[in-house]
Amino acid sequence: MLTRVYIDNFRCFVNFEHRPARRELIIGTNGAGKSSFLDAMLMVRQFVMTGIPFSDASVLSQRTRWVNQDKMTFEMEVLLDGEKRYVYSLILEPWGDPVKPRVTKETVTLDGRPIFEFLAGEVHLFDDRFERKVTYEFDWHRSALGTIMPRKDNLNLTRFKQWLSGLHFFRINPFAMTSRTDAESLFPNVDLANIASWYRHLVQSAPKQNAEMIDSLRRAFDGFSYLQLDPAGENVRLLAAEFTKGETNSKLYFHELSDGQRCLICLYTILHFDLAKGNTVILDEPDNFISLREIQPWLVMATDMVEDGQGQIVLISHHPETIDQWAPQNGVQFVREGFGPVRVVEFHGDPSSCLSPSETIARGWQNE
Amino acid sequence: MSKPSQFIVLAEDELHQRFVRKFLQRLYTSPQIRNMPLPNSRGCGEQWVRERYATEVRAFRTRAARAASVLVVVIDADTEEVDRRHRQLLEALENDDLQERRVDEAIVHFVPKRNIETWIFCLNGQPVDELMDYSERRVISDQVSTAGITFFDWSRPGATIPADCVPSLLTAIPEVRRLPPE
Repeated sequence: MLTRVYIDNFRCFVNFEHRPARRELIIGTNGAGKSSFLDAMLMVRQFVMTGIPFSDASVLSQRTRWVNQDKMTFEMEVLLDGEKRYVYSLILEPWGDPVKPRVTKETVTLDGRPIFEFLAGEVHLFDDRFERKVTYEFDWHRSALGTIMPRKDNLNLTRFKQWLSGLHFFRINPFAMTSRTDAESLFPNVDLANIASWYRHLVQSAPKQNAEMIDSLRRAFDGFSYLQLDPAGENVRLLAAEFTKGETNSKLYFHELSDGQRCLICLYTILHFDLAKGNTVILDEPDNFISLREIQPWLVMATDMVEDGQGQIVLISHHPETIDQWAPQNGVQFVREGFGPVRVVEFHGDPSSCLSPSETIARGWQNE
Repeated sequence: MSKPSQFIVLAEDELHQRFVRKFLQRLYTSPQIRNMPLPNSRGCGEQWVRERYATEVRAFRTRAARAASVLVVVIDADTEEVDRRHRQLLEALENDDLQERRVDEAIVHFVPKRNIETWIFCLNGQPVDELMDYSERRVISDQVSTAGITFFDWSRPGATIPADCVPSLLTAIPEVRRLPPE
């Protein structure tokens, strides 16, 4: 479970700290930094998991405009397996001519003791007894953590990387999705443009979860029967949904479904295959495109899964249905004064007014 | 009475909703539950429920001719008597020119005293006192599930109810009879 995020000198985040709950709703006005929060964490995850160096423009141009500071800092604190507290730190600075971002510090600690260090171009590997084992030089422009392979003496580090690999971000875009898949995708794209390929992988690796998801979709969709991957050439499959109405069956390829139907299938896929595995998932406006009646059953299922101990979910939303269900117990608000830095305050509505939380926001009373 | 097509849950907060959901999921196969919006905070929860009760009863009765639905109302007694909460709900109907709920109407009142945590701990076999406030004591998820299932067991005809069951929970059992069979 992600327990703390620290960001300094990235867009509107200056000395920013947030401690997410196991189930959380982030609200805030446009420009409050909600999506940038997702972008920052996504950027760090991709940097580590892909091993690809940052280009100049992608990171350094996103330093906070009003802070005259080179150093960018990102930290994630994670609680795993009960009591093990991991902290990942990444510090980037501009360097060279032409200027490129380089890693001046990348570390992982477990309960305050180092299990991995990449400092000033040198990697220091530790074993599970916290003893330094190997030191070597590495490219300053890349994540060294991403290159560390699992071994029998670095189980703790491997466990952290496994968690990071399961940290998934979603900004679902039905327009980007296609029916066609040429191969399995192990990981979902942020916009789920690769839903067909990701599902192709999931259905192979977790058939039980697939059965549960199909069951959920049958309750969510009128007439939904099942999902299938139709052969369409060597290694090519087309994702399709089968519907039954009375005696009539009809099949629609994924791109033929409505935007809302595609999004809803994606949302239940995330719950049954991602959250159910214990992963941390962060969704930006998951209620876009979804009809009013379909939002609450999905929220309720997410609530029950997390409350029953499965995973961690953070939603970013403006939707009144989502706000009224989750804000009273699980709401936080990102706020900025003018164009100043983002800070986080709890938001459960205005206890004195007895208005619904969404109505409090609609009236602009949330910050009074 | 036919199996209801929808269950409307008017409750003070999420813990009330979760308890009712676990109970209904034990009672029915895949019940279609619609949770009404929650108030800003639990502090004004009972007022929130009372203010919306008449509207929900009116909507329930309007729909009754077309389809069978159920209205489940969960409101903490807090420091009041359970009967007083029932009377307040009745007054809310009268103020809106609505008739008292009939015995054959699937409008169910659950009134935990002192609050829903009291019921959850009681249904988990923990000794509780209705005068004590347990709202600050942490409820873990398994306890909510167990409470919903145990409440189902205790509310079945002929069920043996433990002697230490709190009175407000005993008064809720006849309310379950208002629910149509699956």
